Amino acid sequence: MAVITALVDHLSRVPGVRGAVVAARRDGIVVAEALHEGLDGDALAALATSLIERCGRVARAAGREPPAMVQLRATGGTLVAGPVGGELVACAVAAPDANLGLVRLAIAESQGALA
Amino acid sequence: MTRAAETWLVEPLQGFVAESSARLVLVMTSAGQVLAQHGFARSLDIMTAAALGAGIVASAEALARLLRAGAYERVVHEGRESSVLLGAFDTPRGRWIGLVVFGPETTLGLVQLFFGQLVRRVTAAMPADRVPAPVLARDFERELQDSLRALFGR
Repeated sequence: MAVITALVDHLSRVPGVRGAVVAARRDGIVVAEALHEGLDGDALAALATSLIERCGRVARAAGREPPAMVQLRATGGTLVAGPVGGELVACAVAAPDANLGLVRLAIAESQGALA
Repeated sequence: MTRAAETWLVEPLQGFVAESSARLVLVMTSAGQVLAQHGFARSLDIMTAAALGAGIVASAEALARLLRAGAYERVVHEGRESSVLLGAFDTPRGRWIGLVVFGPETTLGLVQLFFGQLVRRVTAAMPADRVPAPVLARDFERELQDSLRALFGR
């Protein structure tokens, strides 16, 4: 649990990140979160988990490996999510000017730590 | 197939089913009177599910009072092939219950998320001109038959 809490803490401290959530991959329920005001952690966890699962299905259908990370870019910001340790999904919501490299690095490091 | 005893319930229920990928849905009063359904094929299944669902919610709420735990808003039974979410919510016409059966094609998080939206949509779309009527024994069977006719179109 300390690794998960550290990941959420780490992600939320990246400049421009508005919130981070780690959710259970099986049910999309929040395991740990650090959110700025106005972000719904339950919704973020459920939708990010669904996004990862659906992207995985698309990749498998195309004969590819499931994605290690998914980046969803919108006008108001970017969502970065990735499976962590098989049972979890990590997700960060970032402003348009956020350092996405640091977000991706934090998720990738936790993927290695929890593998 | 989505059907409702009151037509204004159909749209929010269809939206919920489309977004959550739920397999079966019942919306009922806390007394077990069915107001809308999706996916059920037989009236007997509806009556049984409504009675059992209302009973489970009543038991959970009694347990919450006993334990001074406030109100349990959701009761979830997780299974391997399918799971059930029971959620009670207050409306201007009394306390209603949603019973949702869902499988591994969706998640509890998504079902909970869109169930919350369903509650808000139902409460917002509810016509204000009807007040809850007391359930009388002599009316109960007739109302039940009327509801089932509406829900199955026969």
